[in-house]
Amino acid sequence: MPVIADLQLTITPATGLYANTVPDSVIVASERTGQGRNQIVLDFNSGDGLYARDLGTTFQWPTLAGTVLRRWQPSLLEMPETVYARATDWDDAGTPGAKFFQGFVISADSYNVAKTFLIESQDDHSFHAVYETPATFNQQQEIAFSCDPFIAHAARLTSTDGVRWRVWKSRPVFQPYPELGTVWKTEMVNFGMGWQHVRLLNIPYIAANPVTMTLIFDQQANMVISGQMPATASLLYPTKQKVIPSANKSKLIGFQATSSSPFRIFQEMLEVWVGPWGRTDSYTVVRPFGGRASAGADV
Amino acid sequence: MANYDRDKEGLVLDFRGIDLVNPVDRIPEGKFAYAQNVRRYLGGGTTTRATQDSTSFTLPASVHSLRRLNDLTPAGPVLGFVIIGGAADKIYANATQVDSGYSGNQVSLIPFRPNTSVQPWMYCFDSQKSGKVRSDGLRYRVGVAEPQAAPAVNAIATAASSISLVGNVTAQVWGDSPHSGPVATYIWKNASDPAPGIVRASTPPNVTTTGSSLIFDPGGGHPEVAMQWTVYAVATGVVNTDDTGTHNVHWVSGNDFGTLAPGQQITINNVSYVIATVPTNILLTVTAVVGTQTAVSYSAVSQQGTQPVFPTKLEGEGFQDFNMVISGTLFVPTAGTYNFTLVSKDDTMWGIGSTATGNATWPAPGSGQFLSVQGEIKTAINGYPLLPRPNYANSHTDGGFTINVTVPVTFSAAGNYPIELNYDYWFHSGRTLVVTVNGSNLAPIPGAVISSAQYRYVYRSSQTGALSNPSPPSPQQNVASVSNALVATPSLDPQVDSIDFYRMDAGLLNFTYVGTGPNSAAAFTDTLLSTDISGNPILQFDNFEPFPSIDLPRKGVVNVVGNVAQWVSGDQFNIRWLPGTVIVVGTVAYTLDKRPTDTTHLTATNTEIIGGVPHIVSLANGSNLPYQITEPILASQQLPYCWGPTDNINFTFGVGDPLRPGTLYWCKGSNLDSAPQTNQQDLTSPSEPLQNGAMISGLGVVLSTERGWVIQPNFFDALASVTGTIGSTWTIQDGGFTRGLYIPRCIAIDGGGRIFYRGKDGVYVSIRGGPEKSITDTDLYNLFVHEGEIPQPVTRAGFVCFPPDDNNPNAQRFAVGNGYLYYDYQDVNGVLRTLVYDILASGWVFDVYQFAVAVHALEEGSKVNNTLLGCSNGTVRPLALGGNETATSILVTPTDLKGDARADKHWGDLYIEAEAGLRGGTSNVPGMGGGGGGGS
Repeated sequence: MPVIADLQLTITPATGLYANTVPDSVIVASERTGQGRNQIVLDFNSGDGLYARDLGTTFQWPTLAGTVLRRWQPSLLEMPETVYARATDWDDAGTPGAKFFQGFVISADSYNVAKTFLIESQDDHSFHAVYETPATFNQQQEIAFSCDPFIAHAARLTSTDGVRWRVWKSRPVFQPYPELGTVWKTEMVNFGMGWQHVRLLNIPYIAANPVTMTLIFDQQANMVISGQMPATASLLYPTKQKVIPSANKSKLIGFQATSSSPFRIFQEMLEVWVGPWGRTDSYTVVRPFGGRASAGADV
Repeated sequence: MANYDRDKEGLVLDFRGIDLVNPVDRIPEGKFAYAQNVRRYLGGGTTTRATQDSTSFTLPASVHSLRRLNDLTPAGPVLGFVIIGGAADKIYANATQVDSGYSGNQVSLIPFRPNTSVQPWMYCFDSQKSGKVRSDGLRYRVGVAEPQAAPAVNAIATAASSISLVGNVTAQVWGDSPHSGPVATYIWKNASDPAPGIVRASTPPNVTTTGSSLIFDPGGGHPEVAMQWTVYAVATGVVNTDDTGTHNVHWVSGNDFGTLAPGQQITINNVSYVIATVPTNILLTVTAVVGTQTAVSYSAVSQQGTQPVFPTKLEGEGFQDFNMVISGTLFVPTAGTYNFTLVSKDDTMWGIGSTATGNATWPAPGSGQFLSVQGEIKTAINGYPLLPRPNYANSHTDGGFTINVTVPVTFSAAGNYPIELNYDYWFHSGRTLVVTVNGSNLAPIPGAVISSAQYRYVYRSSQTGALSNPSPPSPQQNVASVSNALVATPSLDPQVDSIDFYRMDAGLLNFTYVGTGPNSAAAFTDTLLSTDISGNPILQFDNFEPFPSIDLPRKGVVNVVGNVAQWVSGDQFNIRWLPGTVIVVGTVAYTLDKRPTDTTHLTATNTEIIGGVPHIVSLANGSNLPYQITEPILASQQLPYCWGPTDNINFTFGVGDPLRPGTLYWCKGSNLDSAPQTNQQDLTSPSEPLQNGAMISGLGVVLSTERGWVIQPNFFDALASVTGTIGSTWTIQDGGFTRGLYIPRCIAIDGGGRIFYRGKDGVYVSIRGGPEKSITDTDLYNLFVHEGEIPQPVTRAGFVCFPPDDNNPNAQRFAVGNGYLYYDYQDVNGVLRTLVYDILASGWVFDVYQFAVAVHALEEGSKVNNTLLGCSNGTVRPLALGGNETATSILVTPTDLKGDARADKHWGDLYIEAEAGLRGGTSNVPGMGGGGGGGS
């Protein structure tokens, strides 16, 4: 144990409620004197410190020495608690709305034991296997994990393997995705033009059932377009379908898409070709409706 | 990047004791998981305790008792003190053994200055014996056992060589003579007299007066004149004597010899003589060798005229109808027959009584005689048997009832015999009443004398003033004397160097101090008169050896041979049974006159009143007689737990009598060598034994196993007497304790008015005897028994904390030394441990000494401030700053969780602040500490 020679003081740090004495070999004692005091600093593991729930110290010195002890002050960083099966909190990554989940980046310590965990969707509580598990964290490590994508508003990490670990932080990997809706209806807009008409619509969407598109005009009767937006083949990835309305002329135009079940429309990939009446150049492409999604994959 | 977190102030190691109750990670601030040999001498820090210094002295065994006895008197030791210690069964003054035979447990040590000692003594009380030790090592036992034999009393000089009168003669006069009253004959009688008539004593006399003779109207009185009573006067002075030719006495000073006459007695230098010839004023001769003496005192009596018996007429006719009772005492110098002559007119009955050891007898009435006119057989007042006198027919004429009779009276022994004359007079001329013996008038003994004396004596230690109870009384002395030789049985107790003699006699109603002789069989001469000593102290009967108790009832079978009971079967006798114990032998109750002489022999007496005189009756002889003692009074019951003294009058209390566990005892006021029988009070039933007590604010506090009381003085109806205190000395007031004292020796006080004591489930403190508060529940709860659960050792950071072994209470002791309570005990392995309670810091710490300590004691006195340690190896040494002890101080911090009980932390480093302490010097105060040197 470190012995402070000038004080004849033996200092024995211990952890685990004094069950574990900190080996002398990992302790380096430094001493500075001044103002009549001896300031002693014990470093552990070459500055790496100790990882323990608690820390106590035993002082021993010859009674004849008459040493006076004044203060005891450890420094520490707080660390997360050890858990076994406890799921993390639902994580929306600070971003509201539906997301296209692709995986998690996790900073954790599984005490160098392989740990298996899953990602659970908040929307349907489906569990999504993580490709890189079982994973071993040797002390605190940050590792990215991927899974088959799924759409949810939030997700969390769950585990049932009984292996302890402690998680400093976890960060979901995702892309924003449009919300589901049975009716997508816009306000009336003029697109910066006077008399104008809609030439065509190129609509990326995900729908379990056919979608009916209605164009709403202020200078003529509305136009209902059916049969041009069937149910999509995938409910995870969008399909872009061209919709050709009949001839039309109006000053303000609105759009309405409806289906018997919720569907998604991707605004960033939407194309509505509009042009002023009597134009000489090409049509203007506008994106007047749909949900936000990333411009491209981030994984 | 997160910054390392740390409490900026850190954990200030301000020591406030250990906490063995909470887990190491829940210990409150100021408490520590474990600590040994540390103190909070400094604020905001923890340092080491004072250390064991060099050996002051060494005893042969583990020390169990210690206390300093300061003696700053010129007779005291050079250092001004001595340490009284106990080890095994012995008591030591420093390293010198001064006593042995103790129980081996801690002894109650009480320093006290006995009444006649300038120096203080240490009184040592134990369950086996008690003693007191002076600073020079002189040791005596506490209390003095009473003498077992009455003093032998021999009259050196009898008061007179011929029959005389002792003391005053009393005349009681009634004016209701039958001849002036309602009846016509002399019918007055004694209440126990079977004769008919009216009891004389039932009517108060008209006149009571005293005189010095039995001579009334010797020449015949006239009815119109008051009856004249001859007066004797005492002549005193200084004379020289020689036997030149005749036995000559030469007047020197004082009264001359002009009033003296041949045949009269004269006492010279306490020896009685008879005057042989007619004296001149300055010279007389006596009948016996007088020797050559110079300037010695003399006294003699002679008739000096008369006095009226009653000067005022009791009825219109003057002094011609009255009756009278004359009472006096005859001094009979030697056994034998004396001719008593009665001359009277008118009627007279006369009687003489007996003494305790002597009888007066005379012939029955002869021809022409009877005892009385109406058949009385006793004198009217005292009931003495009547002497014969002429019957009415032989003595009555028209001129009156004249009596002239001589009766030979035989006295079986020398002594003082009472005489009573019942005289009735009715108008006849020639009134007279004269009693003579052998033809001579009865004169008073010259000067005052000692008469009817009884003596007792007590043993006394002049060094301490310790007194014993009195010896049995001597028999009442038959012979009046002017000096008595008293021989006492000397005490074998070495503290007794003096014997005080007390006398009770005709002039002293109580045994009164006469004088003091050495503790030897040498005779002590008593020449003092009652008047000389009447102002002296009277005898005390309450100087019992501490402490008188009551033995279990005893019974068995005895043979009584020669008035001594000899044990046959059943309970043997206890030589501690005290005089006064009532024993029934056969069917007769007696009282022990002294302690049994051994376990198979005892004597006892009772008293019978015979003829108005008490007679001592010894055990009646017999075989196979059952005996029974329902309540033996037991001497010198040793009490192991004593404390005191109180303020003002110094009382010391004691408990722990196995025969009376619920009884509180206390010594005599300011006298630890005596404990009156009255100084005891049953406080609880024996089922709730009193354990011990302490002094607080000058008052006593006593605790039973369950409760506690403050012992308040009783200011309103307690009265001291020679037999003890009448009424209750104390008012016992419940202090509101909810815990009693469990371990008797675990009680101590500090000067601040706090009582620390061991309850069944912990250590408690009571402020001035008020409701207690635990000082262990918070920190040491698990070291004590709760609901019968035996506490187990508590391990902290590898250090094992052993609880006290309550099965070994005698090894547990408390002591307080100026701010620290020391709790010395043995654990279940017999290892000595010490817990120390810092009163100011309100915390406990273990002391682990190089030399295991069995008892602590504060060094009391001026210019000393050490704590003494009695060690298991027999050494006695002080705690001192800079002692030479090899010991380790240990401080174990609580484990730090930083408020998070679950998560591990990343401990970066550990900062510790310390400083070098002040050590290496020696104590700068005198006492056992600071001396240095010496081995361990």
